[in-house]
Amino acid sequence: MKVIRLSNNRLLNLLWMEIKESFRYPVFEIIICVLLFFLFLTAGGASNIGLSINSINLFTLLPYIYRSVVFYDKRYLLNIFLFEALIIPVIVNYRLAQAIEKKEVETLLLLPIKRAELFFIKILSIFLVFTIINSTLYILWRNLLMQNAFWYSDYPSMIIIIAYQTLQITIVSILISTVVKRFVPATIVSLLAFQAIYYLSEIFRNTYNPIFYLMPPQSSNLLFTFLGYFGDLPYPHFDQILGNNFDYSLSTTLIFGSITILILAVISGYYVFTKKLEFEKEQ
Amino acid sequence: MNNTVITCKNLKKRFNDTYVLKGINLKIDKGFNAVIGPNGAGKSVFFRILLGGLYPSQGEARFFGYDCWSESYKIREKLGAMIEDPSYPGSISCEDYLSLIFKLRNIPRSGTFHEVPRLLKLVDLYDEKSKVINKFSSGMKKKLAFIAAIIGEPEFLLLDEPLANLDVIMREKVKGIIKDYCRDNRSSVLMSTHVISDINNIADKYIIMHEGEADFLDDLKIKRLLRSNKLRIVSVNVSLMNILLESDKVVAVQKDNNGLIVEYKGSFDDIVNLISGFDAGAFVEEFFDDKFILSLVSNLFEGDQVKQ
Repeated sequence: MKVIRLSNNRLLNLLWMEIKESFRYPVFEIIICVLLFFLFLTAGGASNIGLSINSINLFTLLPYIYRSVVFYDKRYLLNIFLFEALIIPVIVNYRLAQAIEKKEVETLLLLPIKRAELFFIKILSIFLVFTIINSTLYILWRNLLMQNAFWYSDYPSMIIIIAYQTLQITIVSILISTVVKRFVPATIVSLLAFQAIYYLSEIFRNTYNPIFYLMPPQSSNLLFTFLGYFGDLPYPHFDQILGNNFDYSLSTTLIFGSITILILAVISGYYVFTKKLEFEKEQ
Repeated sequence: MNNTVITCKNLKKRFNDTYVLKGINLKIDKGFNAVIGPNGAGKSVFFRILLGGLYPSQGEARFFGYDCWSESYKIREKLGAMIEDPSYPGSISCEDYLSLIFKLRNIPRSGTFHEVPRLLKLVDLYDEKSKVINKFSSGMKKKLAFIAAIIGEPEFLLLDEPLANLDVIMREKVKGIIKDYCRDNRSSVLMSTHVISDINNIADKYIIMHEGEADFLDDLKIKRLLRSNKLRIVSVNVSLMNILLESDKVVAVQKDNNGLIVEYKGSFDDIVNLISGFDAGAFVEEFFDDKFILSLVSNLFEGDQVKQ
């Protein structure tokens, strides 16, 4: 009888080490996610109903605020993206650029690990850590405060959307980190890149819609429609999320287009990681 | 029978406009091979190319017949290696790190259970087994890198400055382990060092590197190299200079930015034993000034200019 022990799987062990490494300073990530959680509560919704959430009974009004945010104000989604686009690259670049700068990657590559394995384990660990933290906060939120805010089927789809968004940011950050190789410049370049992508998408908003929806901030929104097709989820109509100018017939093409862009980013990230991962000495 | 393990053909490495390796042509056989050379000679870059950590700008490097870049994974499966200044994931303990290597090398769990404590005791790290690697000193990291390299008794050891940053006692201990490793013909070693007497009478062949070029040294040149009779000591013992001057084995002592330069009579081991009697934690290395090295290798690479 062949017995497979997961605890002996070499890659799972490596992934576990990377996840532990990501949680080395968990306070940093948790503070960010808590801030994100409060952002959820305040983004757009309170202004819609003309009240401050501090002055009312949270337990009765929050579900209403949440619904109003989702149904009537897509600023809610954009704010989440903007916040994550600012903070997650900082963390991802910190972890990766530091690992490269300190030759941690090079030390690991003395062991029988393939470069591809190390690359995908790095991405997967960062991606898992943020997904785990964010998902935990949503579930806590649901159980402690928002008894009526979510439908049960919202959880997996919300997790998928956040994970997808995190993956987009992680990939671009890894690309930048492997090229720049130093923590501070990698972070600055990464932040500038995300701001540029965001503002570019805003520029394209009124000129040509397909490009607008392929930009990372908007392609996350598109997933709402994608999930709706398969799960018949009670999400708002995508016209309400994406804006009135959206061409419905293009939505599926655009979703797959944005996923293709993500896959291309992974491939190019791998290429950069394997070909350019050199530790140049000051001559 | 073909004994060649490493083959380099016109191996060059360029960083920006500077050639760090200027066309190395070497065939390295099984056995104990030592690489010596001054700082900046290109030893570490050469080792990194062999390990698949750097992409050669030109030429070819093969290890066990595999290409060092595209097939480095296959090489690393057969190889135990350490780099000069290793860095580790900071959040795990050294015991967990060693267990991970056992798993990556597909060594059964029963072997790991007994081997990890044995290896840790070998380099006096057993008491620190639960300490996270992040809190280790550079010497402790070096010891960890060494035992990590010998896990699974790989058929080839590639050691970049394995004795640097180690105190006198530990250096002798690690030297002994490497000697034993080669003695039974279990494994071959390629090791770089600054302390030439460390590899004297152990190494089968000596390779000298100088300004990006490499060649084998003959016995005559090795003997000249061993007659340097100078060493550098880094010690916290402030009165060591006076103590040494009183010894009849010491000719002269002078201070430099990195410690004391001692000119001595007799063998290197005798003077190391003398120093360890006063300060067991002192860091000792053979000292060669650049002029000395240049005088030794000036004829070696003549007429072998590489176009840049």
